[in-house]
Amino acid sequence: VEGGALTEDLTEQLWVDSLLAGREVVKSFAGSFPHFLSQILRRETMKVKINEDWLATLIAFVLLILAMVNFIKPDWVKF
Amino acid sequence: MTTSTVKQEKAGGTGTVNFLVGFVIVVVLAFLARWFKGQVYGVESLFGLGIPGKVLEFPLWAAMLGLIMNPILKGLKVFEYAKPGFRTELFLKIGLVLLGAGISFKVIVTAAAGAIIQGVIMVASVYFFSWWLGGKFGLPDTLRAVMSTAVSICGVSAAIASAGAVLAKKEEITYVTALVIVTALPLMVIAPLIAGAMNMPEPVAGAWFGGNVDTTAAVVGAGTIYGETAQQIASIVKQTQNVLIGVVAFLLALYFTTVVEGKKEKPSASIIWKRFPKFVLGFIIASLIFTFGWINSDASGAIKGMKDWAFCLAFVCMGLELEVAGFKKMGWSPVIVYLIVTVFNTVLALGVSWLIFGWLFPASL
Repeated sequence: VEGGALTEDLTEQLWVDSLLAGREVVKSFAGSFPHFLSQILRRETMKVKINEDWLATLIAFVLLILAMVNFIKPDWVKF
Repeated sequence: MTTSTVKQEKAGGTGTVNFLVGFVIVVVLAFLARWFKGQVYGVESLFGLGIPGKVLEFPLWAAMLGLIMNPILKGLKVFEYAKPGFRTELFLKIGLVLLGAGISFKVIVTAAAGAIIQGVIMVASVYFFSWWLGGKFGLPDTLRAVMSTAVSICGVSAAIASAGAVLAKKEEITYVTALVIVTALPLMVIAPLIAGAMNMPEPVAGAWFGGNVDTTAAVVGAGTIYGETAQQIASIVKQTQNVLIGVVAFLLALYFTTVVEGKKEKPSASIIWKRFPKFVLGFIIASLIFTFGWINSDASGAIKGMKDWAFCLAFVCMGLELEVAGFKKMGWSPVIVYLIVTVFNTVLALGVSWLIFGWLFPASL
């Protein structure tokens, strides 16, 4: 019985640790994402024209592909 | 780090937050523009004047709302904070690449052939006329160079590119940029009205807008107001003209370093690629995807919707970004030169586009 309780405790501990670790990963990503986006925008602010051209092309192609795989429906973006 | 970046950081908040606040403002205004358009679009006669509601297309509403909100946001001291989200060029380029996904590559090739001829005639004639007239009015060489490039090629981007090549002052760029937008906004509305009064075929009208209106955003706006084919041809003609930015920037850098500054070393030809509008490649690839038949009708509808949204965001930003404060500092001579050159540009573009798109390449469109 004691062994079983220990295993249960350990499993629970492992589960809690995993949750905490997962939360840290999410927190770290959430913390660094604005910084990452901020870096991109800062470069944009510095009038590096080439970035804006490529950025626009990248965004347009992501939208294009999402439309081609029917992920974006015509009704959602009807103007 | 540039001064603007430092100022932006001092204003409080990160660049991301500033961008998001500005972006939300632009999106809300775009929704309003769409709503206004929806209210009048089906009306057969506006105010009983016989003007159909269809002429009040979304570029007009979007630019007007941007213009109205411009002083309001400045008055509320929100403008500078939200400015990173006002991205005319970014939204416009996204819209142009998406526009490519609705145009057959054959049309691009045919229209581009005419556009190259038209572009060379227009850019050379308007550039040298503007340069000469600026000299007669005693404008500084750097201002003449920035203004001539802006009026002959494509407004804001060309002004920035040429300013880098001739090392123009910051206030000269701001001044020319304001001039470009102040003249382009009325032209965006007037040009389609004139074209309509002249019963101009859509390809000819599109070529005229592309060769005549100074900013790419206003060109697309004028084309959108006139019709779908006009929008496509206007965009192709303007983008063909935009490709010439790099060549002109290189020639200007060469002239200013060797003739004006008397230096022996020559600028690198790599500036041609550096100034090449890379999104044009995206536009061509998107057109090839469409031509190969890889876009079904559902996807086509979604892409058209997203393209219109992107353009609407760009038109809102165009109104928001108008700055007229620099006019007083530089005096009225450059304004007079710019207006005379704009009239010259408009008349010449009308003749050249009729000749090329009405006579040389009429059937292929």
